[in-house]
Amino acid sequence: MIRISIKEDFSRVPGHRSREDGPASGEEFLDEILRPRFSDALKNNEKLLIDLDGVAGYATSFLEAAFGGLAREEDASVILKITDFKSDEEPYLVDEIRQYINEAGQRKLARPPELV
Amino acid sequence: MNLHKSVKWRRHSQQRSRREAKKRAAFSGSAKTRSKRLHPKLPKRFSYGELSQPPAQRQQIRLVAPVHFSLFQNFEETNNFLENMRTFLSDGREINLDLSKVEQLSLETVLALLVVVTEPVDGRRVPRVDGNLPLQNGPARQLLIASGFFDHVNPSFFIKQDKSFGGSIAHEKGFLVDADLADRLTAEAVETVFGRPMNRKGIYVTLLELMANTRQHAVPARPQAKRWWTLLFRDDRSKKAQFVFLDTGVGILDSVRTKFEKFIAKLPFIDNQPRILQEIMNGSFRTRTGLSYRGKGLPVIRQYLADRKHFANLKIITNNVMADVSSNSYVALSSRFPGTLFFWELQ
Repeated sequence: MIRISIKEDFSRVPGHRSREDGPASGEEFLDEILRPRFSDALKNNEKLLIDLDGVAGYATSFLEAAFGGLAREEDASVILKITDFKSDEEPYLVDEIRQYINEAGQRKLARPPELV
Repeated sequence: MNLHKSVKWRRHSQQRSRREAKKRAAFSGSAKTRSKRLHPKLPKRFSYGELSQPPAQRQQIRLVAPVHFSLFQNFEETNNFLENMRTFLSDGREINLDLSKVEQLSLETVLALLVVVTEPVDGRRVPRVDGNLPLQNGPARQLLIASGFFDHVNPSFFIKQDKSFGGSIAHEKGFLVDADLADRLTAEAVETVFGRPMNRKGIYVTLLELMANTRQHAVPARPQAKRWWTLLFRDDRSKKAQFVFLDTGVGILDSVRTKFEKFIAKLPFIDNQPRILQEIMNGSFRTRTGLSYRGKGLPVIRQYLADRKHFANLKIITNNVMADVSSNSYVALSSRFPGTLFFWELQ
C-alpha cells in the first residue's frame, strides 16, 4: 500500500485552489504528490491511502482542485476503487472528496468529444 | 570643530541666502509688477490670520467623527464619515480627524479607519492625516491607541499607553491566500479563549476562503487588484477573540451579478439585495463562473458557524446589505459600503 500523509508529505497548512492563490495550493498538491503517487499505485496494482489528519484545515477549493483535478485526468471509478481516505478529525471530508471525484468524472463524461 | 559644518553656521548661511533671494525678487520685473508684488491686494475670502499659517494647515479639512463610531451600530453616519475621508484624501487634501466626541468605537471601524489612512489611492501616497483622541478615557481611546492607528496618523497630543487595557490588536494585509498567517492568527485566538490548543479548522478555513474571495473576486476582471486586511483583537481578561476581515473591492453582490442585474438592482422598487446575499450564504445562488463546484466558500463559512458553537456572531456588510448571519437577519442599507466587511468572534 502506498500512503500519503498530507501533513507529513505536503503541508500542515494547506492553502486554496491554484498556485496563483498562494503557497500549498490544491493544484500544487495534485502536481507534486497526488498524481505521481496515484500513478505508482496504479502501475504496481496497489492501494493508495490518503491521511487527511493533522493539518490546520481544508478549504473546499483545495480538495476540489486536488481530487476533482485528478478525476478530470483519470477515470473517476478507478480513483475511487484504489484510493482509501483516513480522516478521524473531520470524518465528513471523506464523503465530500468522493463527491468531488464523482462530479468531476460526470462532467468529463458529459463534455462533447473535441473536434480534431 | 569645522565651522562650516556647525548648526549655527548652517542657520546663518540659510538666512543669508533667503535674504538675498528676497532682494533679487523685489527688484526684478517692471515698476508695475514690482509694486503689485510689494503691496498685494488680498482677496476678501482670506483673512490675514489664514495667510500667515503654513500652507499645510490652510489645506487641512477638519472632519468630526460621530459619537457612536460603529459601522454595525450606526452605519449611515460612520460610512459617511469614512467616505468623506476617502474623498478628501483621494483629492490630495490633508485632513484633521476630530475624534474627541467619540464615545463608542467598534473594532470593524478601527480596521476601516486604518485602511483609509494607509491604503494608497491610485498608487499615490496618502496625504498627511492629523488626529486627536476621544475625550473620555474609556475603551474607544484604548482601542485606538492599541491598534497602532497613530503610527499612521499624526497625533495632536502625547500618546501614553494605557496599562489598564487588557487586550491586544494585530492587523495584517495581503494579496494572496496566506495559510501560515491564518494558522498563526487562529492559534493565538484559540489560546486566548481556551488557554490551550484546540480544533480551529472552522476559523482557519473561514480566513482562507475570505482571502481567496478577495484575490479572485474583489475586482472580477483583475485578480489580485485589491488587498485584504484582517484584524484580530484578543482580550485576555474576558477570554474573548474577535476577527475583522475587510476588502475594498466591488463587494459580494456586485461580483456575482451581470451588468444587466446590476442595472436592475439600482431601480428603486427592486429591493432583492438582502435576499441575494442570503441565497449566496445558503449556497443556493448560482455563481458567475456557472461551475457547480465554485462559490462554495461563503456557504462553508455559514455551515461552520452553524456547526461549531464557539464560532459566533458572524456579521457582514457588503454593497447595500448588512447581515447578521448568526440570527439569519439580512437588511438593506440606504447607502453603499465600498467593499466587503466580515466580523466574527470566538467564545
